[in-house]
Parts: sequence; structure tokens; C-alpha cells
Amino acid sequence: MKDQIRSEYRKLRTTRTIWGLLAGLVALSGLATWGILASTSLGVSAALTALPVVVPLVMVVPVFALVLGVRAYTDEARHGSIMPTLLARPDRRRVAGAKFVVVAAAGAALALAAIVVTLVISVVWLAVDGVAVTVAAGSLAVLLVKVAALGMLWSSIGLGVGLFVSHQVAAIAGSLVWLLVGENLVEVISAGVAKVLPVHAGTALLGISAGDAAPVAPLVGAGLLAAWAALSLGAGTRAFMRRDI
Amino acid sequence: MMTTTAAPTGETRQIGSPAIVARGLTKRFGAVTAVQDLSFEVRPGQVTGFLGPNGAGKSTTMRMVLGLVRPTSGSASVLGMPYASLDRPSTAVGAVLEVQSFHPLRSGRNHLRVLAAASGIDDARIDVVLEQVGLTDAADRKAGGYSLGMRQRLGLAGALLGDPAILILDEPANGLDPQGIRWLREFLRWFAASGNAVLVSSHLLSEMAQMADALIVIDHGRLVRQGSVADLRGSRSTLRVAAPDHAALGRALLAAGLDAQRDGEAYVMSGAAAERVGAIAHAAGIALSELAMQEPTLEDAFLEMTEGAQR
Repeated sequence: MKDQIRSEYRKLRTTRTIWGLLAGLVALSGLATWGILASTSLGVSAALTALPVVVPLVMVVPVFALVLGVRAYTDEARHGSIMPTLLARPDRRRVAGAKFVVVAAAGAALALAAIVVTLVISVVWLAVDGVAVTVAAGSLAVLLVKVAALGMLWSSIGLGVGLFVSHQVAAIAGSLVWLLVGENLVEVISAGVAKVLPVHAGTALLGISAGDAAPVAPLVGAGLLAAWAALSLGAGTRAFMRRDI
Repeated sequence: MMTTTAAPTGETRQIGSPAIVARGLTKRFGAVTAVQDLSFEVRPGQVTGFLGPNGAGKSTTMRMVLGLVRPTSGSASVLGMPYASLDRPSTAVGAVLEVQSFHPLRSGRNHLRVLAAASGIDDARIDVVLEQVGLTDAADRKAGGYSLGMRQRLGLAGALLGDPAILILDEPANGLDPQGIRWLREFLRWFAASGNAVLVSSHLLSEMAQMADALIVIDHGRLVRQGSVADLRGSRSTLRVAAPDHAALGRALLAAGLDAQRDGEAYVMSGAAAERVGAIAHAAGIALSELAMQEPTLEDAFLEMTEGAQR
């Protein structure tokens, strides 16, 4: 397993995919932070972890983490490199497991990069505006863990979708449509059902409400999102193990 | 006499025992039967050619042997066990099944680093295989910019990383220039002569005739013949004779009791000596424009076998 994880790590490092996603995520997070700070009056002091700049991350992080996860398998299926991968390591469960380890870690790293950029821009902006920023170490640590978990779980969901669907365009387009439109439609029909779906669970994890309905508790949100990740990975791995290459 | 040796995988195998064994392999894709009840063996120390028309089931068979495609029924073993059960498969089998099986934005060297890591092979081996396939100078370029021949070489470099005992190659000569094809032929001959096994499919029958020791011929997913190249090519040579007055030549051959078949402006027959046919023509006062013995070609034999199988 260690060898396969090393191989998956090398795959991640030796193409531009991860760097492109990182650049896009940082740019979008920075823009969103700038937009919010420019249009919000925060008074004379503000708690760093309670700033509204965190809100956009509930959509920005999932989008990029999801694409990262989907591409971890579908890039291989698209370019044919899955074949030498499986010739070197025929145990498909191990291959999927190694991808999960690397993708989850990379998803968490992407999410952390987004929150760090968001917070650094906020601190600088507010300092220039003369707003006193208070930082509670405990709540900052909790926020970082929550955002990292969000990135980790969404990248895992993406990997599961990629393993299940295999076709890159279909997997990315389908999952983004669900992420950006699908759950909103479900919410229109039933807010109660929507609360347990992945996007809503992710927003609950960060302690943010995604719609009119009150969100579930952050821990419940984390549990729900983890359950979706497990379901996605389970279904994806099962399909991958049965697929002819 | 059989002796035993430790295979690179750590398993013990018998020299002389088959490197690859397929038994009753069958694969159906929905209503289409790609491979049907296919059994064959590939022995070490030989280059075994895998021949068949397009769509005969060669690639599907190779993928079943390598555990990439699940057989509908039947089984395949490599060094006595299913491929998926091999402890370190890269040291047992090196395979190239597609011309492109790498990320185009990854360099050739990084592609090999990914494979080396997955197989637990030291990175130092990468330079060795790059040198072996003549790709050292292009190793740090993005593989998407490689020519077809360079892609084949990169695939082969990946297959050789684990210093395997068996090579399985699907159409490896595609895209190679004449020097590349000669290099490949000599390399595979050397590889097999070192006691290793090679299973190679190709459409280049003349190339296969020079390269292979044994052949497996399939058509419509079924085994047509398996044997040595000489056996399959056949030993019956034919005599081709032509004359400007081909009608007179035909009458003379018929009168001499020879079973000559018309082939354009010439006649072709088997079992007749050139001296006898020359004497018949001389006696009849016919000037010959051609008198040549023709050895049977693999192409003739292949077409005969596959057309026979279709009838």
C-alpha cells in the first residue's frame, strides 16, 4: 500500500492539475474575500473566525475538491495510464485506497490554502481599514479543521464519482450540476430532505445555513458528509473492481 | 528434463513449463462473443506470435491473461498462477497493450517514476531502461509530444522496469521506423534467448516470420492453429513457370500429367521439380520466361488458415 500511495503522490505532483486547481481556488477565494470585505461594514472590531468571508468557501472548496477527486481516476481512464497502473498493482481495492489517501490529503491541503488566503487578505484589509481583529486560537484551529475536513470529504466524494462514472466530462459536468443546481431544486421541493444532502451537510459542518431551513449541527453535518463520501467511494470502488479495462 | 529456479516474483517455477497458460477462455460483451473457448500455452525461451485478423480477439485475450478483463468463463495463469495473485507482477510480466498509456503532460521519466514507485522498484532502474530503449535524450520531455515510435519505446521501457521474465506486447511494431522494427526484433530475440517468454501480436506477418519461433493463430475468438512457424508455414514449396506462349505451355504440362494451376500468365504447381518442367518445355519447343521455386510464406498460410476458419 505504501508503494502505491507513493506512486499516486507522484502522479499528483507530476502534472499541472493540482497546481491549476490550487491557483484557481486561491484566486476565487481571494476575489470572493475582496468582494465581501468591500461591500461589508464591520465596525471597529471583528472576530477573525466569525467574518462573513468564510461563507463563500462552502461552495468554492467543494467545487475544486470535487474536480480534484474526479480527475484522480478519470485522468487515468482518459489517457490510458490506468492500464500500467493496474499491471503494476492488480489489486484494485488497493489502488482505489491509495488514491483515496492522496486525494483526501490533497483536498484538505487545497481547502487549507483557500482559508489561509481568505484570512490573510481579511487581516490585511481590516488592518488597513483600522478594524481591530481579534483571534481566538481555539476557534481558529476549529475553523481550520472544519475547512480541511470539507476539502477532504468533497475530494473523496469526487474520487468516488470518478471511479463510478469513469468518463471525465460526464463525471465533472454531472457532479457540478448537482453541486450548483441539483440540491437547490431539492430544497425547493423539500427543505427537510435537502438538509441531509452533501452541500447542505457541508455548510452545516462550517456552521453556516445554506437556505431557509435551520442547518443540522456541525458534527451531524460532518457525519452526513462523511457518510456521503463513504457511499460514493464504496459505489465507485465496487464499479472500478468490476470494470473491464 | 525439468529443473527448478526461483522466478523474479519469488515463486518457484519449472524451466520448460509454460510461462502462460490459457484454458477455455471465453469473453462475451453482451451478445458479442469476443473470445470463445480459447486454450493455448506460451513457453519460455521462445518468441510466440499471436496472429489473427482485426477483431479476432487478440487484445481481449491478452487483457484476460493480465487480469484487466474478467473472462466470462475459463482461466489464464502466468508462471502458474492468476496474474492478480502474483506478489510483484512487474517483475514477472512486462506488458504494452496500448500505444498511449501515459498522461500526455507528464514527462517520460516521470511516467516511469510513477510506475517504479507502484512496483517498489528503485528509481535507478529508470535510467537503465531508458538507455535500453534509446529514449534517454527525450526522457525529460512531455510524453504527449513524443512520436508514435517514441511512445512505443516509452511503453516498452515501462514494461522492462521490473526486469520481467515474460513480455506481452500488443502490436509493438506500430509506428516504429525500419531501424526501430529491426531493433525490436533483435531485442525480443535476445530476450527470449535469455530464457524468457514473449507473447507478441502483430499484423506484420513478414516481421513475425522473422521474429517468432511459435505462433498462435486465432479468428473470431477461436483458436485456429498453434505450432512452430515452420509447421504453420508448411513445407510444400511450389514451382512457378511462365512462357510467352502460355497456352502451349499449359498443354505441355497437362500432357505430362502435371496438376498446374493457372495464375495470371503463369502456372503454379506443387510436387514438381524445376528440372522436369524445364525438360518438358524444352521438348515441346517452348521458350520459358520464368521458372522459379516458391517457398510458402507465412502470409499465404495465415490467409489460408483464417479464410478456412471462416468457411
